[in-house]
Amino acid sequence: MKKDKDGRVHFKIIFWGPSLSGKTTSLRWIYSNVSGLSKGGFTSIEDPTGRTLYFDYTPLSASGDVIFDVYTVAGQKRHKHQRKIILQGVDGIIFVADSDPSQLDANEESMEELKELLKDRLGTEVPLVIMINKRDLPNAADKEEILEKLNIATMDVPIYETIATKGIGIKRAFQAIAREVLLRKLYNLKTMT
Amino acid sequence: MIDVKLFEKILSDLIKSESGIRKVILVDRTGLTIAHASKFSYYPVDIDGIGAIASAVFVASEEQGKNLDIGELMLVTSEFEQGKIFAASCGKGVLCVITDSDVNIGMVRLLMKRAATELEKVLDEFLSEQTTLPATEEKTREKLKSALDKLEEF
Amino acid sequence: MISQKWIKDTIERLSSHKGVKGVVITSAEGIPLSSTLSSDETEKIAAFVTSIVDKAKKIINELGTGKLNFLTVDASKKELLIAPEKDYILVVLR
Repeated sequence: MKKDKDGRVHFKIIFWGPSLSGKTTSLRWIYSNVSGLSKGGFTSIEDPTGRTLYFDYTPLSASGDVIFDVYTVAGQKRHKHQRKIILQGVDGIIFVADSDPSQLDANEESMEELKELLKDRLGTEVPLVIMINKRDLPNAADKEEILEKLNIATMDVPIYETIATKGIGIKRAFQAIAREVLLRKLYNLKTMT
Repeated sequence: MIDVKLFEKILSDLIKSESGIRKVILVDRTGLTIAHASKFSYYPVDIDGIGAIASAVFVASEEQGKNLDIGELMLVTSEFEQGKIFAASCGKGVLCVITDSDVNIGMVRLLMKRAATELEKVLDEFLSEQTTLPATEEKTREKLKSALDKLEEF
Repeated sequence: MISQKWIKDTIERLSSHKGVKGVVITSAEGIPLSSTLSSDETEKIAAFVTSIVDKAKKIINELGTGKLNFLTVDASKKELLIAPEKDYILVVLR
């Protein structure tokens, strides 16, 4: 959490996950479809084919005083350095897992990288919400199988089954992470005083 | 408590001191735009988006410097057909200046160096205050609570 | 035209003159190319001299008095001799 010079409170939320799992699609869907959120521009650094090269970014606000600066990371393996940079100052993570059975290992690797970077702050200091995306795939992998690979049983993490292309479950997943982030901060403020 | 007008003063002094400077943005290393100043322009720009890229580009260069073991990054200059972008480190922040293409580069660098030293101090105070100042806690709590309520509505 | 050798020779030639306290060569964009002074001082001189040359050029242009050939800034402690060329500016402190 940070304040800008006008006293507005900023939280940084990141969509994380393997390549092509639907991070940018999810953020774009929120940006275009969720009413009741005021928003700034949508910034993207992508390659000529439209794949995220560095990050996407858009500021979203439910009330004028609190702003969620929402980022996605580039999912491809070789962009690890970029992901590390975007992760600086993160307040909450939405992990977008791919339901395609061929992506089970990619999901796992992406989560492992996140755990390695945030260490024990993941799921504690930095709340985590899981989106199991592309549930409309005819051959979608079993939910349990995907979760087992992510190896997050020890954490108490909200899990949402989503279809980002149709916007199904996306809003709820975003509300969940925003709520977690706000509650965590409120709780910390209380314990400090 | 520090006066946030100090940021504005330093930035507007900087923008006024050289005619080729169009825009000045102060961001932190996580991509957050802290303050900015602009000369009148006809087209609206998305300052937060520009700040996010400015920070990410600077930090990426810093990372590159670490990989190559060539020390701390002082300044990034990007030269475009119709303008230049300078980004300089100022402690926990990055000072970003957007100029015309025929600007006095030496002057911009000199002015940025001076402003960066000033900003570094103010920024340190500003950022450390955020975690320690109890007077604003109640207000912050109210803001967070109201955001929490609004969250359920959309 | 501006070669390392030319810069070196020019700096040597000018600094050998009696009373010369320093020589700075800067690009037309205010970036120091070579100097006999400390880097801080050099940067400052390059920046401000470029700025005054730009202004002088504008004035001369407005007044229609031809091309700017030379500038002298006479101060109580030092004197600045400024020769603006097409691609660079030569500054001598005296």
